[in-house]
Order: sequence, then structure tokens, then C-alpha cells
Amino acid sequence: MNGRWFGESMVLVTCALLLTAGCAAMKRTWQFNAAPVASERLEVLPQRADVALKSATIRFTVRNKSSAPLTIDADTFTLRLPDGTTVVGKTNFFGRAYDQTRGLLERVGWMNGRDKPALAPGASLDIAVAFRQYGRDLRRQPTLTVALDGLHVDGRPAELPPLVLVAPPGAPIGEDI
Amino acid sequence: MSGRGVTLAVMASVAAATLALSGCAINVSETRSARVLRGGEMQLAEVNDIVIPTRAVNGVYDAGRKAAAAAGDRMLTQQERRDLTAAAAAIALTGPGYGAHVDLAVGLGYRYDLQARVGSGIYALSLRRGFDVGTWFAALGLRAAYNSGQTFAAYADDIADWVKISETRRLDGQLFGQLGTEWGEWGKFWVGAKGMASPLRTHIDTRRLGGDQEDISTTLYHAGGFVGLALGYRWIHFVAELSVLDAFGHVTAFGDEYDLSGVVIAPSWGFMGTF
Repeated sequence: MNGRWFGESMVLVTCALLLTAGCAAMKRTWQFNAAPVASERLEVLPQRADVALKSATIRFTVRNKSSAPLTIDADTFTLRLPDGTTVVGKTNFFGRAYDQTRGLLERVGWMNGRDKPALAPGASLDIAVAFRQYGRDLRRQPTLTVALDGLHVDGRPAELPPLVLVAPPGAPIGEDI
Repeated sequence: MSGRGVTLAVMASVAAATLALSGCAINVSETRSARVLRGGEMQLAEVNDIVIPTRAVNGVYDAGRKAAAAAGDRMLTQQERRDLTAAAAAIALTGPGYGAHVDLAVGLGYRYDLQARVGSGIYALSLRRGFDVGTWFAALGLRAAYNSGQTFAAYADDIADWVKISETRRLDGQLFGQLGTEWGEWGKFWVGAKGMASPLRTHIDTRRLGGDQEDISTTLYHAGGFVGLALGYRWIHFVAELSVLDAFGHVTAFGDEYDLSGVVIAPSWGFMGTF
């Protein structure tokens, strides 16, 4: 047996195995589906839900379906696994940092306060929320429920039903996979 | 060919040949968490290994070298011949040395992961199956490796210069188990047990010294345990592991049998990225 040949063959076999990553169990990110939800004044339209092993990123559009302008605030959201485990999700880090810094400067009087721009009737706003955890495999859940508790309208909870993210057909379900 | 020349040739041949086959020690480390990678998860690690064979560092090998040097000037005494034999056996077990390797692993799904290891004369593939034990993780795995035996050749250049070694073949088969836990995304701890069988064969040519040539073959066995720790955050961790294995086996060369038993201590450290 030629040692070099054997070693190279093992490496090639390994590469071939790695290239079979197309099988469902090795897919790193699954795109979950969700139906829109609505209240009297708002409609939430899911755009994209990318669910990976430790993280989920949800993008949705909030549309003002009332006849009056509305002030929308997005804070922290809660994602719930079927067994009740909850994961806290947040909006873009830089956006939050900017808002918090500006709020602090306004409180100490170094900056003038400003009114948050209102969402005109019929207009919409895009929001992205990222959830991250360890120890569980988010991809293997049949459903993930996103409570829209972090969404506020004119300073009050939006009172929207949760978004229910459903695993796509073909996605392996069960954390032993 | 004088008697002492033959003696030296035999001892040096066995020592150098088995030394060339002894690079297995860098193949004993796991340096990864007991948590088997999930489907699609990837792990890349660069690991450095030091091999400390206790028999070789306790003076046996030095005594053998002195005896070998004396063999060039006069007939060896019985004690010197025994020293040389002991040294050959110590080197045969494994020579002290340093090595490095790269591990690339991927989660296959269904609690299996596959790891490829390349470096310092080692080519290996490992498959693990994971289990959850409460908040702990367990894994059972096997590894098949080919060892080119080139890693520590420089260690015994003074002996290897006497002989020509060719057609070396060594395969390692390992079974191992791991148990460990993880602390958030910053810490991982594991312990494990490992057994390894290494059938080997090589050709030794001592004709330069007026000796003979011979194919030798035997099987070395290692059994022991390891403990490891990884510290870092989320994607990157520094890993350190200590393996202690008992090695045993015999080889017969040029009409004599050599004991290959002893304890090998192998600390390893490096960086591991999980993505």
C-alpha cells in the first residue's frame, strides 16, 4: 500500500462526504412559513423566517390599516418552542444602540427631544428580529411561535396574535436528527 | 561483520524502525467537546501535540545511547547490551516529540459527526454518535488512521543513520467514549476513554553495517483516558487536553523479542472554531 496514495484517498473521500451536505439533515438553515396576523389597526405580514441551529431571524412588515397615523415602536420579542421554552429576540443592534444613546442624551439635556415619525394610514414598516439561543436545535421544531409583545402602537401594546412559524415540508423534525 | 557491529545494527534497527512507526501519539488526542455536531454544523481546529513517553524520558534511552556509542570502540558487556535493548524498546514504544494536526468535522445529522484529521504524517477519519445524558453529552466514536511514521524521525537521527527503513505501513483503529458538559457558549469540559490497536509492518535493512534485512510486523495497543477543557465564546475556543495511555505489545526482530510496554503522556492544545 502506498502511504501517500492512501492518505490522499482518505482526504478525497472526506471531501466527497462533506459535499453530500445537500441532504436534509445537514441543511444549515430552513425557511419557515407563517400566515399574516392582524388587529383592528395593524396588519403584520411575514416576509421571511430563516431558522438555523441556534438562531432564527424573522423579517416582517407592519402595515397601518387604520385611517389615522400611528407611532410604532419595536422592543424585544419572545419566541416560544412547542415545549414552552422561550427565547428573547431583539431588533437590529445598531438601531437599538442609536435609540438608547439618543434617549439618554435627551434625558440629560444634551440633545433636543424629537417626535418619533408616525406611520401614515396605508403605509408600512419593515422590522427584523433576531433570536439566539444554545442547547436546542431550532430547525427541528415543527412550529415556532413569535409573540408580538414587543410591538407598541402609540405607546401601548399592539395586542396582535402571535406569528406561528411552520417548518417547511421536507424539513426533518425532532431534535434527535 | 563483528559481533558488536551486529548487536548495534540490530538494536539501532529495531529502535529506528519502531520509532518511525511511533508517531501514533499525536493521533490519540480528541481535543473537542463531547457534544456531537448537529447536522450541517462545522468545526475546524488546529491542535498541537507533545508526546512524553515515560520510559524514554526516565534515562533508559540515554543509557542505551551510551552503550551504542561504546559499541563502536569495544565489545559490549552484558549490562550494556541489556541497556541497549531497553533503549530500543523505549524508543519502540514511542519517541518524545512534537506534532500538529488540523481537524475538520461536520455534523451529519441524526447525532452523527464525521471528522477528518491531517497533519504530521497522520491521516484519519472519525465517526461519532452522540447521546444526551440530562444536561451532559455523551459520544461513542471510532477512528481509522494511517500513519506515515515521519513525524519523529529526527528524534533518533543518530540511530536512524545506521539503517534504512522502507515500505512502512501502519494503521490505527480506535474506539473511544466521551462524556462532557458545556457552560453556555463559553466553556466546554469533557473526559473520555480510548483504546487503540495499531497493526504495523516495515522493512529494515541493516546491510550498511554488515547486518541483515528483515520485515517486521506486530500490533501495538494503547488504552487510557483523557480530560479536556475549551474556553472561548460562541465560535472560537482555546482547547487543551491531556491524554494518558498505557501502551503494550511485543515485536520480534533479528531473533530477539522487544517489550513495547510503557505509559505515554500526551498534552495537546490549540484553537477550535465551530460554525
